[in-house]
Amino acid sequence: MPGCHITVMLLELESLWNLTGTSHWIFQVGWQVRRRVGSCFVSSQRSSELDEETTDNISSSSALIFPTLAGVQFVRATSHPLPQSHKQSFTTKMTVHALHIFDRKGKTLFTKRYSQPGSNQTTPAQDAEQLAEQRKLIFGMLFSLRELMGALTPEGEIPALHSVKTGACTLHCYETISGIRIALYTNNNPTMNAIGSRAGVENARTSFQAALKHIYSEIWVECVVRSPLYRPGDIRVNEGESNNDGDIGRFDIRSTNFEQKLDAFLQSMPWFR
Amino acid sequence: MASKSQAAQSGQALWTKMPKANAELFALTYGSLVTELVRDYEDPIEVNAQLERIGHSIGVRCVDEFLSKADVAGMGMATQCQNLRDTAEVVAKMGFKMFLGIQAEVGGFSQDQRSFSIYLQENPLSTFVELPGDEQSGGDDLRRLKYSNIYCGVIRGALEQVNLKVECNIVRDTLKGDELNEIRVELKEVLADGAGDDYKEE
Repeated sequence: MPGCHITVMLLELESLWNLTGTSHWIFQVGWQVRRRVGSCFVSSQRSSELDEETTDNISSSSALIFPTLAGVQFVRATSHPLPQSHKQSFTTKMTVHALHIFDRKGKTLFTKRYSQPGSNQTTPAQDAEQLAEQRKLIFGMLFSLRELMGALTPEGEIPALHSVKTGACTLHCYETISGIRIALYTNNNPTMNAIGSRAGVENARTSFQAALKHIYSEIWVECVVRSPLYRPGDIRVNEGESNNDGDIGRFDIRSTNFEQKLDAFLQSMPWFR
Repeated sequence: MASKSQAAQSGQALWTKMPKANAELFALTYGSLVTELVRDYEDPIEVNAQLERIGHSIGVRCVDEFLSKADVAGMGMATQCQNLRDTAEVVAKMGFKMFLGIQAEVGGFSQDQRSFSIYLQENPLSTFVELPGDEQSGGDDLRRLKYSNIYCGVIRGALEQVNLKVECNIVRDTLKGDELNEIRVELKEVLADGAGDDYKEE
């Protein structure tokens, strides 16, 4: 029920504000309906005022959007410690679904799917289509969210979107000033996420932000940008469809060892299955 | 925000981390490149334009490298340029230092804060270079050659990637007898982030 969902989030927000006592913006994204980011409802006021406004918009695809600046995505994870017995269940649950890299204009520079979230009956063509669809949606969402962040961020701080958490999956993002956006699409697993976003300490080796940053600086820049064949405007994207004549002469990321290095790096992360 | 000494220190630290190449090899390679261009195009204005284009594609790649190194080294300065002055400092003190190892100064800010100058005391590209004098037949023409025009392209390309459209010109050149090199950078416009044509096509 959309109503309940919003109420729960509001309570969390209120309790967290009382806990922290600062004007730190803690955000989460809740999608009641999986739709494109066409219409979204944003409020940056205190929770009591939110009640009236949100009830009007429950019927549409309303979402409370709260970008995270401090790197804390989970309210619950910070309040209780990780029991030892849960460690065994990590590897079975957590999966990284896909990784996308976009440039400033919306063009996809790289995309890779790591596991099938759904059925195995889809043919490769449908698969590619699904992937293309997914990345377009993700870029659209990131783009719109970025606009909102600019409006919501308090003065003097830098807007940065760390993650978008929905009911089914989580999208971790890292964006550079040059417009490169790296998006990592994973499923939800509270324990893994706690490790992944440990306490906002950016030096944590296993945190998602650090990993995405590493992917950018050590792997992307080293392998792709430094490749002599790299042409920023002209990158071949489509993996399966090499029949497209317009792609000949474009830079193909497969000519670098970006993918191998990326895979090796992600395998080494504890939250990757 | 970005104080001068901070930028200089970061630049120095970044420089020490970068892999180095032989400066003479670099200067001679560039020299032969320019010579070939002069032979091919014969018109120094055209050569200037080509050098600028080459510089542009270098700049586009440089900026990613710069951003990744500057961020990783913990110097969040690169993410906090509030105005053109900060950008100028970062470009001169960190960028030039990191990639070329030279000290560059910034100054000459215009009234509306939309243009500035970068002063280079030493230019590693022109280490062994002399432009021919007026007596020779082709000498006159080559006086119009902007030998270090590649810098202009690099700055333009790099700043374009961070949404700043600039125009750069070499104003003073040690090869032509001035005491230092001056690059004038003018901000034309701040580009807006937008979904480009490719996205719409898709």
